[in-house]
Amino acid sequence: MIQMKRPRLLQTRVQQDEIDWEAVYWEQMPRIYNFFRYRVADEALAEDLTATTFEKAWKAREGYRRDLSAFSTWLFTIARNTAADYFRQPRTEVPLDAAPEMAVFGGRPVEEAVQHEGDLLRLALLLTDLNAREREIIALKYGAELTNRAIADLLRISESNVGTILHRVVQRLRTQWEEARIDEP
Amino acid sequence: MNPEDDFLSQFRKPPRPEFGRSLYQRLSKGENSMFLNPSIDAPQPSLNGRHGHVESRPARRWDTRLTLAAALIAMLLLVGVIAISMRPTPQAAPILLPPAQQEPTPEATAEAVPANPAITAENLDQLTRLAAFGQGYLQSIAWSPDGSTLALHTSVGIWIYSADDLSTPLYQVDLGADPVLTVFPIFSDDGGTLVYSQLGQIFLWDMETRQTTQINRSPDPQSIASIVQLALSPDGSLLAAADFRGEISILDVASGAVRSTINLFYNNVYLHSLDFNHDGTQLVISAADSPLLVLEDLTGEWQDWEGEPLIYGRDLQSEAGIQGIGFSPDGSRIIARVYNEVVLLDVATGEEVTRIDLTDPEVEEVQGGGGSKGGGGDLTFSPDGTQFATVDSQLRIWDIESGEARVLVEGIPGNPYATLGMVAFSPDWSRVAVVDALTLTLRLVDVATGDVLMSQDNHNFRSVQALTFTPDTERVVASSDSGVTRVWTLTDMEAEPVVLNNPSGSPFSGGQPVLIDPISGNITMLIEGQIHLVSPDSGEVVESWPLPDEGTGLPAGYGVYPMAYSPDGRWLAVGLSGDDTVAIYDRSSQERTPTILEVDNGMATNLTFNADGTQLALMISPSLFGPSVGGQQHFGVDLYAVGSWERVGQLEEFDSYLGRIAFSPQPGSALLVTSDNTQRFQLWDTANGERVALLSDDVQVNGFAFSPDGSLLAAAVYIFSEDGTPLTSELRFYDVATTELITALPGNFPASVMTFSADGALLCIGMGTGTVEVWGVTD
Repeated sequence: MIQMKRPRLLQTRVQQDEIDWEAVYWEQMPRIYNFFRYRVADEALAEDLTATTFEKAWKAREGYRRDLSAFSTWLFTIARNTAADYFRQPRTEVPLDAAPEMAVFGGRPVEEAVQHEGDLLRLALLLTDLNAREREIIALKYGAELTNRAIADLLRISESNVGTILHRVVQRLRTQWEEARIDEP
Repeated sequence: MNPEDDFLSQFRKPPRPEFGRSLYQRLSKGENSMFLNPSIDAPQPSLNGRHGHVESRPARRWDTRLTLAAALIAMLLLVGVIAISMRPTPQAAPILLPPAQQEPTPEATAEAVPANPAITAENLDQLTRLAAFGQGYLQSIAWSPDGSTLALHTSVGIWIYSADDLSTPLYQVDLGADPVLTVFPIFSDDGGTLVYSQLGQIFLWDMETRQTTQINRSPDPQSIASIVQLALSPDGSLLAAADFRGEISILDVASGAVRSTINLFYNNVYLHSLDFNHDGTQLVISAADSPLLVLEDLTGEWQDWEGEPLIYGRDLQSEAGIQGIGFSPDGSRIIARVYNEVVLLDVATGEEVTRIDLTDPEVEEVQGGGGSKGGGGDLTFSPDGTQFATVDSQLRIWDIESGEARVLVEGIPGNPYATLGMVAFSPDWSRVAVVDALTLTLRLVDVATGDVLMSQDNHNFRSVQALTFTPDTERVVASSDSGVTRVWTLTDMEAEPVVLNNPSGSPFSGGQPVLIDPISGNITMLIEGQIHLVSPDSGEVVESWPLPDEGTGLPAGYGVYPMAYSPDGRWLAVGLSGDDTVAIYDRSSQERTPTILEVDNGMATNLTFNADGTQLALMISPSLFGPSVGGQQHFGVDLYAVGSWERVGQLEEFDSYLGRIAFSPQPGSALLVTSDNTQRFQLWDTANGERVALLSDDVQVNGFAFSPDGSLLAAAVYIFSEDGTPLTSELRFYDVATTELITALPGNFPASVMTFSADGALLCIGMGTGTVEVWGVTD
């Protein structure tokens, strides 16, 4: 049996107690929230996932290693895992990318559906045709307002790759946006 | 931000201040507070994360969204009660509980609902649940190793079926008070045990004795994190459990003792799978952002495991991770899936043996070369090791030698990217159980031929969104957001419900209202832009006509379409969110061209006629697509005179979305009740626009209904603690005349809709778990 090299992730953890969680919370919470808002296009769900992310981060705080990543990157890694966790759960509702014809209201009751802001519905429609990675990059860019560099770090792809994907996706979305736009008085 | 992509930036919003504060408070609780000196006056987040300042108004007592989440938990508690009350269940037919009894009996299921007196303020203490319908919605499936048994995990429990007869469950596994599983049930290799997890706890269900055993991973319940993956060793002696922190425990099944605790990850990780190899000496871990990690039992019996993991498939490491693995039948190969590739690795060396591209050229063509199939995780080897199956938008069987695939089950028509759903192969690979993600219908498919051997939709009934009695009170019509509408006959409880099928053959768009036509008695439904009148006897559509074109350019049915009949049945009003109008159909005419009522300040999201049929009330919310999009947001109730369709009044004291509205059914009454997003439950006098009473402002009203004489108002509510923790749920009854709360029955009521029968004797409650309860007064 071949003994392989110990993976990097097994390296000794670094104690770090100097994180100002209060500052982190107020600084990052809106970004995390908007990441989820773009990711799931559902205000209530975005709030739930934001809360889950911070609770997970707090529970896992001793695992954070400053030498491996910026704190925001670490936090967004948790957020991304939280989102992945959500999307892997069997849902009672058909996911947006699974059934565009149901995307607008996700099978919700009328009363609940209309409690979602109109722009969330338009966002859901807009993002329906994107694949998961594209949607995630859009969420990180326009929801969380991360730089291409930060997104690249987070996704472990090159910054130019992020830029290329964004350019292609935004072009496509803009076309759809223009086509679908309804003239307003 | 580039102005070119402003259209994307505009969707960004700051979190609601209530949410920010509520979460802050939640994270500040107790000794384990996240913050050193928590203060509610802490800086308030702005949109871009820079600090703002908290305004001076007091914080809300709780946050609505967290309330909803908490409500879900409370809802699930009810499901547990339902699960208990429905155990064991000899029939798939709905269950009728005998009066004053909590446990159903086979005899009781055959009884008809007795003639009950009307529910009044005087006899509320005798109110009891008479019947419960529905088996919840499917969440996962597992096949026993001998292929004889299917375990279906639903929103209300685990139902055990003989694989040869999906029409009737053998029994229901008791999941206790909380039926939510964090890990789907898995069978032991000998089929004698079903293992599942609820939060941090692990349970072993003995299939023979029908008893459950709990395994505690730690004596300190507070230190236990939710388990996300489970694996049983082939001989059933060891259990590997991973929690969401990435911590993996290896436990002795017989004693429940923890043999080893391992955490290979430096932070939270999404763990895709845990798999023991064939002799139980290896445990393979796949996770996001990680190669395959293989633990070997270096110390024997996994006691205090301290070895180094082997790293396989380093080049397979990806953002999404290795999404599924399996072992070849001879144990010599690991098969791993990464996006649209399947890679076979040699177990002994970790070397790659072969790689198969799952890309479907046709799909690439559809998406303009931008993507391919993949992303799904399920992988299964055939018993002879020559084939494996992948599940994504299709179920495909692959030949390992040639790399060629055949499609066994097609995906959802018209959507090449839609996930097919859940799939489980029988151990001999003769049959595969497939749950369609869209319809949640379970099918048994012949693996060799692709023929559908059997199908059932007993569990295909999600959150109940519309509910009504037929005028004779003999039947209950319930529609769920899975698109299934069923008609249960109260006088013949053993009869299977009539399922109303979508006449177009495609799944319903879900959750639309169901009404009874007061003239013909037909069920009235609105499906995909068409109004259908359906016979409650046969389930057949007797008339259909299309809604007016809303001009949105979207497919028919995209929008919000509340419907209501006037009491005399002459008028049918349908709200159209696409252009902010209400279509009024005169049912006394054969003409199906409606009068169009234009709503100038938003869209009608709910509508109702008063008892006299002289007024139509519209619940107004900001537009989704219509002319008023972009204008000032408006919430309120508009009152229109029937016939002239002139607006005659408005209730405007709302600053948030309304939940529901309903007129008192008492003739001559102008009383209207509203529930809204700020938890205000209010009674109004539409004659003068004044509020009569604030019935409550500190509970979440999930559903409400007037009794037919208008004297009682029933409401299913959730009650929360200061920090948003669900405390309890109640079924409340208000005296409409005095507006006083008469009584509140404790329990769990995840109600989404409620209605009284016409004679006032029965109260029907549709639940978010896909069940329907009928309540009445017994002597």
